[in-house]
Amino acid sequence: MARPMKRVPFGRWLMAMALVEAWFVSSREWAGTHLFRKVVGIAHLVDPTPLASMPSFFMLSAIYLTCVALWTSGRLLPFTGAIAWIVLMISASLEASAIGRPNPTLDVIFPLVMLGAWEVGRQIKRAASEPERDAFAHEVVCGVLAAIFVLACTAKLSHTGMSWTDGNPLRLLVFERSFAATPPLGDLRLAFANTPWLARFASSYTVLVQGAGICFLWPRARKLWTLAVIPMFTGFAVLMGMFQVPWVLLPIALSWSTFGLSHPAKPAPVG
Amino acid sequence: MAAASVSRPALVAAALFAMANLAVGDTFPFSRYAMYADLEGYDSSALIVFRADGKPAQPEAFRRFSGEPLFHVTSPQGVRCSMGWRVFESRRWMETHAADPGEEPGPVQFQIGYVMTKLTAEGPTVSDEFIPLAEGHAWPAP
Repeated sequence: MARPMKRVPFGRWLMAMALVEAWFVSSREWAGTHLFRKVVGIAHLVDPTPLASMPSFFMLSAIYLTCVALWTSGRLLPFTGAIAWIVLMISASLEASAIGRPNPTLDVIFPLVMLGAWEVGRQIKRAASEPERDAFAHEVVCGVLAAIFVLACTAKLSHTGMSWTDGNPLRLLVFERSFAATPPLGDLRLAFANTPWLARFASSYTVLVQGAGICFLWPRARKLWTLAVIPMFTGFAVLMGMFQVPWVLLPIALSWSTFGLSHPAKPAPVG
Repeated sequence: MAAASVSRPALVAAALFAMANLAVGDTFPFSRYAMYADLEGYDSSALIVFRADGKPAQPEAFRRFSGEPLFHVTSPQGVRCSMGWRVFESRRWMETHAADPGEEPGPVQFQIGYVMTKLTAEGPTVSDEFIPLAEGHAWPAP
């Protein structure tokens, strides 16, 4: 008798989208390059140049995208999740090495951390039933998300105190990016840069929402916080040209759905 | 009520994750998630500018670059610059679209440099003074 197919919740689809986006954002920095400015991650162990060759890029892409597709449909778990995570780690370290920074871009590190947290959560509860494993892993991922946003908030406050919220640095950042945009976007950025109260509001809102990420520890507060964070990332996209798609997709996925296949609607309450 | 209480697994995961990242700092795959945190005193900055024959241009509109300084250019030193990544991005473009050895330099004088932006009481301003970082030659893209 054939096993009925599990319905894939839309949260898992959103995670898959974030993972695919992360791959292309990451790999475009290293695919085909021979120029590495820093030694990060796997570059400590092997010469990154052959890994970054085009044949290697196509092979790694095939492996990664196949594993993401299989993971999404719940096949060959946990291997497909683990392999996808490892390959994305390789890409992330090649990316950081290529761009010369200690870490890859945020679009890559966020889904990487989320997938890792999900798989670790499921492994911690490997003796439990599938619904319990999914419910536990869901909470682990939510906890990690909360920590990330609180870390972002505390980083700002520890560097500059509350002066980060006065809006002046943001005005200058947006002003610089107005030159890179054609009208009307460039005009919009210029207008923002010349409106001190709006920049103050946007800066304060950013710090507030990031600090309020701790709300993700409370299941009932997740949707509200997610609704608050979406305007923040919309602002980043419009004013700074930073399209951080996973950072919008994954809070939505975790607030209104789940990555778990055992709970198509919502995870079992834990507390 | 149980539904209104904090999720204990989430709390533990958050605490462990935060402690690990704070302890290790910005070393892959750990991160402080600083995200433009270090903006204290950010009231002036270097804005990266590309010029072809003295006019604003983008490196992607040119090929067959020549001139060693172009291939060693780095982001401005001694001044704050939030778009230094643009220098490295352009450098990668120029290196992958470099002229063949011995090839005649292109007709276009290509420059990478910066101008200073500043936040004044009247609002943000940009200086007219172009400060070059590197220059060479190139051919317009076909």
